[in-house]
Amino acid sequence: MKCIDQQQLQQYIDGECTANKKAAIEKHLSECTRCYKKLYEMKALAVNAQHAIASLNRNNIEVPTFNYAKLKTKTKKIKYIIYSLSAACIIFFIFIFVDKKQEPCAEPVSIVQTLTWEADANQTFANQDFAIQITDCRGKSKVIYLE
Amino acid sequence: MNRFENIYTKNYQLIFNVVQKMTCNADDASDIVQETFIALYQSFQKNVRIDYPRSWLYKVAVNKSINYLKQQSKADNIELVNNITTEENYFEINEQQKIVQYALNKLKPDEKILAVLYSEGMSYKEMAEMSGIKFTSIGKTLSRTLAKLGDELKKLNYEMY
Repeated sequence: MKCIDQQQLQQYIDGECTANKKAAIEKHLSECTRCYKKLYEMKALAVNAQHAIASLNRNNIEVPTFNYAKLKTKTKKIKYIIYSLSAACIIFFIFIFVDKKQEPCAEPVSIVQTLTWEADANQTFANQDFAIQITDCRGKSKVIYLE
Repeated sequence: MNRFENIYTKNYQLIFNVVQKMTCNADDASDIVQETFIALYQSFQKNVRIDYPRSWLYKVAVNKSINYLKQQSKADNIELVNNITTEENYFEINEQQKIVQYALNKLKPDEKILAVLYSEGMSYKEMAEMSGIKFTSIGKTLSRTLAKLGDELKKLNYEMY
């Protein structure tokens, strides 16, 4: 058997390998001093790490009384936020919608005269298809034929 | 005393210890623990069947801690987290504990969770369930994490056995 990798050694230390695997590893460990040494080091490391992390445990924590009031205010608060947000949204949309309809034109209405063909001074407007195109600031345009 | 309060008083310290080791911040830890118990309370009110409250609490607390750690690392607050041990939150802990806290903070969120769960004496199956790491790669990740942690502790002259 070739040397055991770290993963298998770790599983062996934690008792997480199958019986067959365990037997194979133990057989190899009895033959290979390098792996045995590694196992010893990893065991020490595992114990040390567990001990070090466990040293952060606090044993005399005062258990605070469970705050039922906090639970209620929290849900109330969320409800309040949802209501106020939806109200704000409605007001915002109404504002935009109404605003667009009533807002007076800031820019002057532009008038573009188009001549479909050259004017004939001897004929009336009506006979010559004179048109005036009026465009307002929202881009709406209307064509008026002169009579 | 009702069932919930019984569970609360019996498990508070246990859950708090797990969370505070992961978050390295006593204030945030107590917030997470409170949120965890609030979740339990709400589940009880909705009549959700919870057979093993302790492992349920463990799971929820670990998940919340993972989210917390991910947010922390996303916000690139690694330096802040590293310095947290010097803040007043931890004025009660001694030098050796500060070293452990510092070394733990050097680990990635997943590794940190795994190390803490390992120190709680959990099996690989439980660790896989709680941390979201694949069962088959627990051994590999764990050995790497322990080696990393050991190196950090040695660097900081932690007193090993």
